[in-house]
Amino acid sequence: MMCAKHPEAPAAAFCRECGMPLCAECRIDARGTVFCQEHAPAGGPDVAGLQAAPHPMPPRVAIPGLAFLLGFIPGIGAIYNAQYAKGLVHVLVFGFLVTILSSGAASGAEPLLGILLGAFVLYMPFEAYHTARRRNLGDTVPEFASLPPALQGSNTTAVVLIALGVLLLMITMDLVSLRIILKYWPALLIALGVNMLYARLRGERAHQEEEINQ
Amino acid sequence: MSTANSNLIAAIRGPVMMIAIGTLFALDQTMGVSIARTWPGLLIVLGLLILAERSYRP
Repeated sequence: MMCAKHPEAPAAAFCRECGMPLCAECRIDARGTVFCQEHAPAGGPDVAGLQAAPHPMPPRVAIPGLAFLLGFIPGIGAIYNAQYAKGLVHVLVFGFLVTILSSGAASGAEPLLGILLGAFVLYMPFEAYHTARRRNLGDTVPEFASLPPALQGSNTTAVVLIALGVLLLMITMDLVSLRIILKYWPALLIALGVNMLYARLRGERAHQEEEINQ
Repeated sequence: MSTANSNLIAAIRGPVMMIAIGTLFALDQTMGVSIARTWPGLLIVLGLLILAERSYRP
């Protein structure tokens, strides 16, 4: 693409009004965009116009009250805050708690699970409310900021998804019953501890190497 | 190079998940393997894709 007025020069930009290709010589920068000579606004190039006006307030992107209300529907509060993976996780956690409670396989842990379910139903709206408020302040809220650091980053998400998938596949294929899996739930705590230990030791090693390098 | 691989895997995540969902529904229709029994496979596929993407990331 060549300039409309200088066929030997390559086009560097296009007029905002008529779309004419312009070389670096012909382009007129004004109001934060590019014009040709005919369409350049009066007042000359590069008037401090729209571009320079600072925003007095960051734009309001979310209504915290609405986020709170939607948070009572599992996953919807997070989806309102454009955090889709978190919404999926909320739906899965809610679904699991309800499934375990209604399957009758909790073997005496119903009160604990019931209270957990209640706390989770209240957690979701508050989480959505605070996320919406932080978004209004212009913060970018990482999706899993509320998780402990040992579970963030790393490959934990992927490993948890795969392990969950294998377990659920075994259940739906009738290879093993939910009752037997629930019997071994403390393994989850052990795995969490091992993961935390690993993260702590790795952090310690990185710290030591840093000190040696200094 | 490794960043390019990582971006490639991130880009094909949606299509691959769609193919996986389609495959499960096709199995449901033709082989009589109900989707209610095979859906956790989707979680496994998603986990593997995330793992592959992360392993290439520098």
